[in-house]
Amino acid sequence: MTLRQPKYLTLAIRFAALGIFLLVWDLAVRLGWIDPLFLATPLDTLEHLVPVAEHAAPDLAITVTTFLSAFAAGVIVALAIGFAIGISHYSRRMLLPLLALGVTIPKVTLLPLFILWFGIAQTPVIVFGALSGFFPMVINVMTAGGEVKPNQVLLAKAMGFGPLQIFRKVTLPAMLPVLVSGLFYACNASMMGVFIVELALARHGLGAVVHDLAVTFQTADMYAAVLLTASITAAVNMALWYAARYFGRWRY
Amino acid sequence: MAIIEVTGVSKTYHDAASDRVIRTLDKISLAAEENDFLILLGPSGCGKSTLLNIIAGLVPHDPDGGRVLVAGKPVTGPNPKLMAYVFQDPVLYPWRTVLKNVEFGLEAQDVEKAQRRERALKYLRLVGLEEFVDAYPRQLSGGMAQRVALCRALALETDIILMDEPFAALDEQSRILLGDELVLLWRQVRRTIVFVTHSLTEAVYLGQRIAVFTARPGRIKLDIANDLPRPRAIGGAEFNRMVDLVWQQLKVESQAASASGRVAARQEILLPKE
Amino acid sequence: MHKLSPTLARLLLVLVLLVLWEIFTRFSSVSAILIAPPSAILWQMAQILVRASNVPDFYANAWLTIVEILIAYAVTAAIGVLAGIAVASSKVIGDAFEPILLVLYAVPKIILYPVIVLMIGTGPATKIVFGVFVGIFVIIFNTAAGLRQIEPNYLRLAHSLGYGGAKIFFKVQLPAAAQTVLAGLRLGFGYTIIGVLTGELLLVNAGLGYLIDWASVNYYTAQLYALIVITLAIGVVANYVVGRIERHWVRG
Repeated sequence: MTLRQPKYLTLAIRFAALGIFLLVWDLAVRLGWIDPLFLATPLDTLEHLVPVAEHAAPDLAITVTTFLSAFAAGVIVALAIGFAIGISHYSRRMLLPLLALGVTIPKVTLLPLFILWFGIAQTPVIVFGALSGFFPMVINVMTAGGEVKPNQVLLAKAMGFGPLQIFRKVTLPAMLPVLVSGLFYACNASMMGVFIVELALARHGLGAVVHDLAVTFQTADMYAAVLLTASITAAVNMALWYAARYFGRWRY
Repeated sequence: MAIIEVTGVSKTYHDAASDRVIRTLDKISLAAEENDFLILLGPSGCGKSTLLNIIAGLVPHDPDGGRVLVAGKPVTGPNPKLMAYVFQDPVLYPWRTVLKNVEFGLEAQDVEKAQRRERALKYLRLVGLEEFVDAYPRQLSGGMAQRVALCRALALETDIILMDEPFAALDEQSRILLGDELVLLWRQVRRTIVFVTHSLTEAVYLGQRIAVFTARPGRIKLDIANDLPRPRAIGGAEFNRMVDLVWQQLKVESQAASASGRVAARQEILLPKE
Repeated sequence: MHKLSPTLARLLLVLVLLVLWEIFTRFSSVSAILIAPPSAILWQMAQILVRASNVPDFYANAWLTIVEILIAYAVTAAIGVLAGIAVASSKVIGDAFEPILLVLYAVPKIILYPVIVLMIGTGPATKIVFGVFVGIFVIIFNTAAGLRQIEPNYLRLAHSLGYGGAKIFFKVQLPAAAQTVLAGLRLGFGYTIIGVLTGELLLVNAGLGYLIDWASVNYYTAQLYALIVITLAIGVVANYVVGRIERHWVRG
């Protein structure tokens, strides 16, 4: 695609940018631009990383299980409803704008309602996370059906394949890239949903850990926890993003 | 013995858009012998593609007494063991490699994996695409894609190959070259080919027999043997004589078809790359 | 059945759901704290809008939220477009920063939230910053993509006609990229709203978030639902307006 001749230059710029960022960060604390109560130096943050990780391990486990349940629930319901709606052009046209609305509205506004209904244990976290992931996924499932061209099905019929085989060999592979990309968006949304509620409730999970560390001004620990969470979520998201790219590689 | 026998077949359907009943074929009768290269030629909307689809078993004909026999048995549905179908749009599955696309039809017929691969490779070599076995359809040109579709049909090793304007979306050079390849293959593997086209030149260049359709509702106006020796010279005296002969009959029908202003039914001009 | 236009069907569906909701609330034994009937909610909404409700300082708070959104968006759009132009203008800079941006995008911004609160406090500035963080990426990506995908022939033509750098930018590049850029600006607006409202609902000290929290802790259920509907309505209407503006500009 592009000749990476100035490859060294690109890397150099990247390192320079990161270096400047870390330098400014460090100086901001050392020179007192920002009160050290509110910002920890990069080194401090790294030093606290491992102890915080160990300490937060049980909460990390809670967040992970919560997220997985929420994500799975949202995706499964989205697949069921999406397939059911996607069968008929009419129902798809009728319901798509409503469901698209569900993606764009700030669902966080409903948070107090969820807490009212489900209490302050892990239930609202799971439900909110599932709901957050449901909407982007259902849209993708509904539109994935449009990826299958009628000629492709006709050809398979002319070749003598039965309906189940046609589903396996034609419908599913055609839909796969859109479905996987939907998983990516749903995963991102579910993660955010789970974290938001944990932060708000401040009782269990990584969100609660970060919250507690922040309000008790254990600054270096808090930054370490944030770094930890950011790294894990970024890793998962990027893995899914590359997966979506891999499954769509035959398209472009 | 006629390998394909169409007797008194009609086809009507209800057009939802205009809320009218349209009669595409009107008690049409036609026969194809073994190893024939039969051309179905006619103006737009005359029903030639519809007839092909009926022979292929993809579309049922009206139950009013018409009959379609292939190899002596009536057609009840697609029969990939007997007939292979090539669309105008190559319809290659973009998520499969060229090789896997050619193997596709064989997967429905319980052919073993190794054998599938062998057969696919054999035909790909025949059309000169052996270097592209692991390429994806998006990397192919229109002509190459249609060649792959042809291989897929050939790999089924059926007695009959049905082709619905397979070269219509290609440029002229590709059309001529692929036409030559098709004729070469036909002589090598000895199959019956039924080829739909609206191009007069293509019909005379390729066909051993030409069946000219009337405008809708379709009937056979002329069934003529084309004995020109091969290779045929487009523009040669003999060629032109045959073209004139056919055009005499076709002209009237084409004028009738366009004068009535009837829009062609289900004429899907599909681009080769989607 | 198919004679019913999808829009009409949608409307009917919503009406039916509202009626069912009304019936369910009035006749079931579910506590009045958890759920309010649509009639009561609509009544409250009317009351709130004419200042006859007990909701404290509705317009002052609503206006605060709206101002936060507008400021956040102004900043996001300005910085986003400029950054997008920067990324697209130089191949080297673009290549260098692309993976960095990708990683930043992969981190759910909500995780950085405690950091921002710690450094900036709990005032409106925090919510604005948060809105900027959430909305800016899609604008950068779309602007950069739009500028990069311009037909090279356009540029060649402009050069052959003797146009210089700045002229080319305004007369050729900007209009050609406009569609993608505007789409990014529209999406960015939606995300900015989500960012600002998330901030408001977590830091329930001012704005609509404060009002919603007030209603929820005092168990004024009808008011709670009414305020949530109003907030969501603001989001939906704002998105819709921006969408219409975008479509109008793209056509012209």
